[in-house]
Amino acid sequence: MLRNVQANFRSRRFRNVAIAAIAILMIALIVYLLNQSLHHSSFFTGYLLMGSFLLLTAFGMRKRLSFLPKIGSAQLWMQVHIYVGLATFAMFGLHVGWRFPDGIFETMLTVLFLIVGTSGLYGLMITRTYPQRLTSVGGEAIFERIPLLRAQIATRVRALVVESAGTTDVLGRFYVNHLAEFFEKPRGWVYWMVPNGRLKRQLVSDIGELDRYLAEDQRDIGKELCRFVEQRDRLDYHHALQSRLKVWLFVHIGFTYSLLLFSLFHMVLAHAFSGGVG
Amino acid sequence: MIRRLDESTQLETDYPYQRPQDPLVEVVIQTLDEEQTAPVSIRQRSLREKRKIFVCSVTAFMVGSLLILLSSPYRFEVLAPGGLSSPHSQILAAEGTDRCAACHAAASQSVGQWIGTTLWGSDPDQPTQSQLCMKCHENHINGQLALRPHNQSDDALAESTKRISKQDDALPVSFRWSAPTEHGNIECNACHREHHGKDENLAAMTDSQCQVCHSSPFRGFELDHPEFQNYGAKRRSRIAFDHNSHVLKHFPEANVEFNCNRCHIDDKTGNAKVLASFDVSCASCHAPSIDEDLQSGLTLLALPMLDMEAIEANQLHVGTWPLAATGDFDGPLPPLMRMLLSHDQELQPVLRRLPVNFDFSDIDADDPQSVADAVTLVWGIKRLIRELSIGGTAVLQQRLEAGLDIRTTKHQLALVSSQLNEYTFNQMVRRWLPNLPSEVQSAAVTRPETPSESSDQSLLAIRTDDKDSWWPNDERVLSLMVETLPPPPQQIDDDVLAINPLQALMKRNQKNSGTTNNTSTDPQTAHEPSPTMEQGKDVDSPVPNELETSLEHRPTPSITPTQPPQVHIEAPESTGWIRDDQTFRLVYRPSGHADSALTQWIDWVAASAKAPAHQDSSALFELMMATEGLGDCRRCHTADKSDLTQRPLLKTELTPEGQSMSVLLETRSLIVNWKGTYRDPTQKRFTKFSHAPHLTIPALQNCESCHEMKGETIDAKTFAGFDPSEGCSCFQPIVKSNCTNCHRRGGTPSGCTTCHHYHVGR
Repeated sequence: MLRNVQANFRSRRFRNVAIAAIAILMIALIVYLLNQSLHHSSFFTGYLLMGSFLLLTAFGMRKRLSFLPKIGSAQLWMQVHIYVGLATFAMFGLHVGWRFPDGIFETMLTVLFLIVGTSGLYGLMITRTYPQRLTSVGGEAIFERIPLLRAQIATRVRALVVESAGTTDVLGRFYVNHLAEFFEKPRGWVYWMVPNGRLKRQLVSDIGELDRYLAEDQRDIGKELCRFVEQRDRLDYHHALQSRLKVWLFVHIGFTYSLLLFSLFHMVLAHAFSGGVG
Repeated sequence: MIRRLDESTQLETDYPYQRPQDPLVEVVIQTLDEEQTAPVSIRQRSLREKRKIFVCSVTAFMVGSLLILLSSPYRFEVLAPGGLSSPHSQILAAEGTDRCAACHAAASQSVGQWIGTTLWGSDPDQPTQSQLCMKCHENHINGQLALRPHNQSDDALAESTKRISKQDDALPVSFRWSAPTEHGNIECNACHREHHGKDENLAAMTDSQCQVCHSSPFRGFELDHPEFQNYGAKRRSRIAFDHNSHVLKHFPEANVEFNCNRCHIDDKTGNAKVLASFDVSCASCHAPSIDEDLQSGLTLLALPMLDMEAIEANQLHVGTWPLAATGDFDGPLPPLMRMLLSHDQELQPVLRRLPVNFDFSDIDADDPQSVADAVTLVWGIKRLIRELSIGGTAVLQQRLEAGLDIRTTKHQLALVSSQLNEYTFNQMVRRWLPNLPSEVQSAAVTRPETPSESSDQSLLAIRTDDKDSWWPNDERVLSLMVETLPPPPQQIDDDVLAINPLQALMKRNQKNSGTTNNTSTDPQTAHEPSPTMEQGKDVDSPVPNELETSLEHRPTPSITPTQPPQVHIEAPESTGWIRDDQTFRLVYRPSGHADSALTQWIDWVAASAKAPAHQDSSALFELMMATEGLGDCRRCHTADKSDLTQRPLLKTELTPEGQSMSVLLETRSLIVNWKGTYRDPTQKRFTKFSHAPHLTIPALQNCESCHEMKGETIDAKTFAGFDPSEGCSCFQPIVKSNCTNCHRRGGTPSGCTTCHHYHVGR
């Protein structure tokens, strides 16, 4: 069954890639012929890009504008969105002649395109890979719940430390000096950028080093603290990866409408200043 | 599990990110080990809401930023798609932020109008970008044909296409779209794409761009370019110079080394070879013969010898006439004077009867009609001289334009009429024909052909006892002569009338010796010279005894000179306008080679469609345009039929007697090639070539590596005709293989624009 699913996925991807590649090659051929014929191919590629932008934007609008007729499945729209989006990179390159624009407005437009396009590519990449990474670390955490779970863990850790304070202050001191910042505060942006288990391993190792100062029953509390360190670290890992899965859409959608408006204005400019060509 | 809580609900946590305005939600917390189910409530905005706020913020920020930029004075700096090329950037720098309007009409429009242009097309009342381009470039490109392919008219383009199609029969096989033309026009920016930075070469074109129209397969110059069609040998050289004879004969005879670079020198740019000046290249051998050929000069006016007896016998009269110009009918009718006389309506019937090369010696003194024609002609000459004395060069211009059917300019007229004005002609009249003003006035009332019986009303010169002198017999006329003469009495001392006996005797002597006095070359300058002789005695030409005897018997009219005639002999090297009081000629003697006045006279005749075909100007045409004509100018300077004007095309053919004869082929005129190299700076040709980079290659520094001489002498007739394609060049045609040694793929550039211009013409 799984093998059949994988085979279908591969064939679908091959088919879609082939269609996109053929479309790009045909567009490139038309651009070449237009350029060889003294035509301004930028109008051709410009209208193609504008149409592509509208189609790509329609993918998001389709979900919002429920009154519109539903054409095709969501999966089909997603596939179209992905491959048309990939093709726009080639169309954009053909449109600008594979060079970075010199003008201020056109530079802004290019930067917007690159932000939207690369964020889309990034989103495509992480939505394909992060689920496996999250599964591999174990556990499941809903993104919105993670802060509360962190607070809950912190509360439990505080309770454990308070419980151990009746006999010795070793764990209490260790908590104040090393564990409090880990459990009470969110992880820094460095961890968010590059999530890793280095701090977790360090803390677990340090707690293990405390065993020789602890009685037998307090050693169990130490082990319990190690378990919470691992839980907290796993939650942080989930948070880092899931936040990326959420944030890329902020960028992707956030600049999409700017790109669309700028592109429309660019089209107006191109026609007004075309000088009789186009 | 999330549910909204009331405002009064007490929160159980001090979640640090909670804000007062956040909505209250209850989140049921599931512990990792599923043991604790205690609900924890926080204020939290949904991710979708946050994203919506973010999207709106970003969009508002971007659009706002753009609007701010657009409302700033630097809006066009923002909107410009890139930097201008260096030439445009430098030229438009002074325009500041408004420089966009120099090329884009939209720059002076509103955003609303831009949107209108996008939706409904450009406003036809606004100038197109190409029209704005031509505001600056019209000096280099013909505005009427600026957008036509190669700036050629449809007819010229069709002709070129037809010619090239004959050379290249290959059918177009490559798939291309047609050029973006509207009504056959190609906009400037179809090829010239701006806003690609200062280093962009706007004039650069690829071979593929050329092949949009020239669609034959073209893989490279060495493979697919057609063989040159007689390149470099399509026409004879403009200067009739036979390289072979000079190499093989003339230079060796003069023991001079033949060096191409002596005559063919670099121009200012070093790109083209031009001919060195006459002084550098030709004068050492040819200047003496040219000066000799120019000695005869160009006669503007000449008084013929008249047989007064024959005139009297036919009861005709010519008024006063210099005694020295009487005797038998003799003397030529100079071609230039005949052309000027043709404007005289009364003369036209007579001129039609006269042969082209009429000479007064052709007059049959026994034929009344012939004598009457001569008299009519004399009165025409008098009218011409009279008009010139009144109107000066304006009359000359009027008669010239009418006689040749051309238009002249002040500058051109100034070239030929230096030191020639009313004063010059008045002095001439005073010396030659002092009674002319009154004579012509009276003749206007009384036709010379129908003399009145009352001889006292006539200006007819009658014969006195002295058979060699002719004077008005009417005292009233004589007094009139005195009254109408402008100079004071002492200036009349050297009046031409006093010269008449001398002239008559000299003529008689010359006739006896087989020559005519009209061939005398002793001139007197047109402007009044200072006396160089003692009064009453010619120190240079002693009066013979028989002449003195003749003078003793001459009647003494009221203006009889009291002094002997003065004959001012100018040095033979005198140039310019010369009045010869011995031969009664007004002659222009050129200063030598490249005399600007003589070349102007020749240019006028060459430009005239009428000159070669009309009876009254064909002699002038022969004089000017024949290879053995005046100064032998045309022996070296060829003349081409003109393609630039709708004027006559003429062809020179040789008569059975060996004389050249002009034949009218079609209505075009001629251009005399005064320069050996013709480069019209206003005309750009399809093909370009620069010698400079080629001559850096040692193998090409020998001119014959490309310009191979034929090794045979060229017939002189090659240069006599008016069709430059007739005859042959001294050189073998340059073939493509001369170029493909270097200009090939992987070698030096061999693209279309390496050797060809797109914009041609003016």
